[in-house]
Amino acid sequence: MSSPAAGAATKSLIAFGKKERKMLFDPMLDNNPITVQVLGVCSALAVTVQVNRAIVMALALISVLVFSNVIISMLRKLIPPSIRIIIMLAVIASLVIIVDQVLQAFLFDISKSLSVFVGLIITNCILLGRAEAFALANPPWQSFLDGVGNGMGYGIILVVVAALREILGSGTFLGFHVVPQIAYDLGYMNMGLMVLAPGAFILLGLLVWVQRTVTGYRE
Amino acid sequence: MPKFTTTYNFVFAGGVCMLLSLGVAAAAQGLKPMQEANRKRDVQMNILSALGLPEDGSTLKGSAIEEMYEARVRQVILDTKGQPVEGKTTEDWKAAWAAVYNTDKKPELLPVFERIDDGQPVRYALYQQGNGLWGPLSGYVAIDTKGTEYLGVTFFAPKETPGLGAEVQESWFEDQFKGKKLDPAHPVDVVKGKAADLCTGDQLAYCVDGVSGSTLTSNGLDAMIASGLDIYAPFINNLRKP
Repeated sequence: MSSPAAGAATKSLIAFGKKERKMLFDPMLDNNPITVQVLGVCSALAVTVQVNRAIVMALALISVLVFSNVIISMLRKLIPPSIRIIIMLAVIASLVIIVDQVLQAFLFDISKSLSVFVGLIITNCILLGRAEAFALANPPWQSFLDGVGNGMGYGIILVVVAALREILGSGTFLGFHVVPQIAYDLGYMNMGLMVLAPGAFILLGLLVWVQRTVTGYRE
Repeated sequence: MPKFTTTYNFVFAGGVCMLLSLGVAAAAQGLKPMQEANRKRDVQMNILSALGLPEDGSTLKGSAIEEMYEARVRQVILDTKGQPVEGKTTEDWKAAWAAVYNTDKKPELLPVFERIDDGQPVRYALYQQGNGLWGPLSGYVAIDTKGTEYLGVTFFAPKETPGLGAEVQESWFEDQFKGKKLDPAHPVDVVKGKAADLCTGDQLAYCVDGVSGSTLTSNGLDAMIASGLDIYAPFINNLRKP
């Protein structure tokens, strides 16, 4: 039996009203970290040759972002403003190392193919950006939602770019052949450009254009 | 709200660092056995695939790798004359190769991984080491029992740029070596571009396509292949004797 007061407290702690919904879903489209805020572009270009790598990278980033947001948010009243950036970096760096260790233990092949990029999550601007702009000023539950939202926003773009690059560049999706053999027999060729970095730049640019046209966002 | 004095800042920073390092240390230590098992299996799988095992070209997972490795691969350690030496272990040859890494000297112990079909060695995999653009390269090169042909290779390029130099670890690149001619006096060359355009006639048997954008990794690979041939020349020449 919980008292009404405790119930109210719980409600305000993990409420899911209009504001929270905005925190969760806004970063997925209207305020997407990659296509609108243009953060975390480096890894979006680098690990999007294959969909499975993009998915693991997105999951790695989401887990680091969620934990870092929650931890920073819980410590927000204790962190001295003068050393907040280094504290946030220490938290993020530790989480990234832990995620990297977990990948090496459980998803060895993918961790090998992601190589340095998991480690480079440390320098991903989304993490420090969300910690500084959101987690430092908001309670843990809201920071959690913000972390999930921004992580998903990043992940969606990563997977979309990777899917297009893998289908156009290698004719596969998640490693399965999707372009039928008959198309190759008729002279269809995989687009080598898509496998290389310029392909990612072009696709990402097109995505930013499409998205900003849809949402009407202006700098 | 705590008062952010200098002392507080130091204590807070110290405390956070302590807690975080505990977390990192726990993860690293707790997962170490699994990571080491993964690495060992990765090496074994690379040796297997260089030797053309399993026959259907699939990639094994987990303990199936160890089982096939135990059943089908035999490690023989040779001296610099190409003669087997007794009583040496994997650690011994690894130490011998590490001792000459980045020098012109040749290692004193040469591992040969034999693929055993029905009790007979049918292929040999030779170890190689070298340098790419950013860090060490290594690999296993499988040859036939007459010492005349490459049957498969696997390379490790853990420090090379993903998408560029690291592509030498991909099967499209490695598969090119199958059927190339093995000649201690004439190493296979990774050309800058398409082998079919740049190598003519008999030379084509010693050329493979390069990876665009990774000339320095390719050069390192060339040097590694050449030095590997040089190191194993006594063994290969023994095989080539009629």
